[in-house]
Amino acid sequence: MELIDYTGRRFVKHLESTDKYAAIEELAGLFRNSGICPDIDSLIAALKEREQIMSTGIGFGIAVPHARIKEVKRIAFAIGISRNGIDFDAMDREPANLIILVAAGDLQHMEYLRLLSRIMNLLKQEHAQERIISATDLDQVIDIIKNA
Amino acid sequence: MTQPLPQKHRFFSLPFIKDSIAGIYRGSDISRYVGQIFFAILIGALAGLGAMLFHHAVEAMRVLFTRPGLPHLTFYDISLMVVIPVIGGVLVASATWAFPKIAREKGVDSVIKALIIKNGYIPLKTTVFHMIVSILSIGTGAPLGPEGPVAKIGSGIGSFMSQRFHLNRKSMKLFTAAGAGAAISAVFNAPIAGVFFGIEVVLLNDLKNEALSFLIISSVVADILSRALLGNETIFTIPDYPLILFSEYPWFLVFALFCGLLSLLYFGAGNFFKHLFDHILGLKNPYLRLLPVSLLFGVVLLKYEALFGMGYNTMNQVLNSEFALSAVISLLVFRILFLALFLTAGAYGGTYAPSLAIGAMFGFVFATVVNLLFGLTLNPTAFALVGMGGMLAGINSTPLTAMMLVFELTRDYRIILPLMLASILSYIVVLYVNKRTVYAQALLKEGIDVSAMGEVDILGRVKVKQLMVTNVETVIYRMPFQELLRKLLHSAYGEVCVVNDEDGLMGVISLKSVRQALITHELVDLLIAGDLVIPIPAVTEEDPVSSALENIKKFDIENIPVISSGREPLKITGILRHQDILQAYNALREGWATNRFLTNYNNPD
Repeated sequence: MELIDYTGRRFVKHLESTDKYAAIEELAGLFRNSGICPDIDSLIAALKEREQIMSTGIGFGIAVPHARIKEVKRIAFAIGISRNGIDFDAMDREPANLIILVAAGDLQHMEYLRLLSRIMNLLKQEHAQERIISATDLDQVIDIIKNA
Repeated sequence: MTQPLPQKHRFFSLPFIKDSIAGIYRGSDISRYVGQIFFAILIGALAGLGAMLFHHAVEAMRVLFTRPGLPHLTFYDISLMVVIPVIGGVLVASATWAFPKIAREKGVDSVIKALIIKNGYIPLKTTVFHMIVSILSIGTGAPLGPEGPVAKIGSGIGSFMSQRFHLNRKSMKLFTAAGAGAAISAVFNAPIAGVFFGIEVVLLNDLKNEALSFLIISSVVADILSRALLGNETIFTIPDYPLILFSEYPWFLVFALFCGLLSLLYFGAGNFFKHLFDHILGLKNPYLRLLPVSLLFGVVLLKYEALFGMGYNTMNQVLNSEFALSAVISLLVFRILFLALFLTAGAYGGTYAPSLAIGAMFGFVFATVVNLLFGLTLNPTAFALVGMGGMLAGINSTPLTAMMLVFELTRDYRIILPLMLASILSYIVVLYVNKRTVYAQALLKEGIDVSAMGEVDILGRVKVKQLMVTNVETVIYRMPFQELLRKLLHSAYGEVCVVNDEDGLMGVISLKSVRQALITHELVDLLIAGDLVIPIPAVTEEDPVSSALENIKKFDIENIPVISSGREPLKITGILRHQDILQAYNALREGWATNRFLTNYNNPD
């Protein structure tokens, strides 16, 4: 499967939230009525719980909140862009401008790791992170993912 | 002075044969092997004769009891046709009542059981008992087949001869199996089917079994004898019919699936009657079980005499389209119902011949109805032949035997492709629903599991607590990946168990499973143990090792956590390692070679 197969235009958003838990709720809410996870509340709870154990802000303006729960029917990710940045308690103390939220089923451990790995590889590409954040049109974000 | 025998006659001399047979349990490899071949020939001949004797006795009774114008019992004005199955029922029920223990050792599954549990030992009285009661059952009309009884007779002869010659237990097993195949070969005049029957049913598909060579020899000898005494005639007379067209194959495909469904319907009927007899009516007495069924059958025989006995004549008539559609439908329904009823009620006989009859009738009905509904010209004879294979495979879980038996009975190569299709599809449909073959199901009810030959079966006898190690390495799910990696690298087993805050098991993490995270360096700072855990259903200390092995294979792991069987089921008490399972398997295999199928079997002896 291509990276684009795990997301879509409806799962990309300019975030309005200003703190990390609100951002997680806002992004996870994009999966509502998508068939990915019928129980969004459980997903949000799992994401927040995971965030409390150890921050998913990996620095350089990126955060990757993620969770694996049985309620998730299909592995997927959503992309949130915050021009002002959101404090994700990253080690470098830099606010996150790009938040990629990954949701997976509890038995999808291998596919889950592979997807996280591919997302990291995308972000390592030259200027990919900047192009996503500065995209004026969300379709451009999808194009970047497609060409990844 | 006695002249020495010429060289060419030496192999047929009595001293040579005696010496060779004695060599089975004495002497060198070559004399043992030659002796076993001679013995297999002897078993083939005797089993074949026994099977033919059985067949002729049943056939003679059929001719006697179904002759035209069977007289009425004048006082009551009741046709003898009604009375004969009842008389048969009384005799058979009396035998069952008098010898309940021997009576229980019924059918082909009892032969398999004798091979597994008693190294092929079948007492002569059991063989004689089942031969007589089966002749009485089928000879007085019960719509059952000869194969169960003849397999019992053949294997009984093989076992008895092995006992008479004081062969060892291993040899007795070989010749008991060979006798069963030989008898089938003779009774159906079908040597290849006899061999396949032996492989599929008696040897439980074990193609590496040592008995295979002797099974083939005995089957060949039995069939040669059968042909020499009875001629080369086939049981069925097949009318000429056109070649099967490519466009007809979809209909054969549909028909094959229907064969599977009809087989399931038969099993459903059998289960219903068993529930009715055992639980609703609570009938234990053999008379009360068998006589009402026999009486009902006698009444039905007044109108449908074609139901009497094994039904080869009826099959011939169906194949030659001598019945009207409505008559065939009635015969089909009654045959299925009475097959299930008689077997539940306690009659003696097999299901092969009835399956063939049901298949022939079903094929005829299917083709005729499809022709009427869709204006087609499907050939009822071709469908009847294919149906014989389909139903035989479905009801008896023997697809290869079904193909070969129908082919050998009809010697008609034109139907071989749809016949193969119907046999295998019908078998698959039944196996998909029932999960086990009909013999495996019957034996499992007695605590003998023949479904999984090999490692799982052996390991099913060992409990997890006997093999587990107790020094478990655990990590808390909050542990960052860097620290987890250090633990994994120093782990004795290459795997750690992940626990939650209450020490409850969440799953395991292996070095293999985190390989992807190691490749992408950025993930190292992102992940914790909880992100990487593989949620594996743990096994309890009391579980069989076989179930643990299934999970190890399913989740592709090396070790599986063990939890206590008490009130706190998620507390880890140990770990079961794949390498320990393999070691245990190798150690146990030798010792349990003969007892490998036993699960909860309680020897009635």
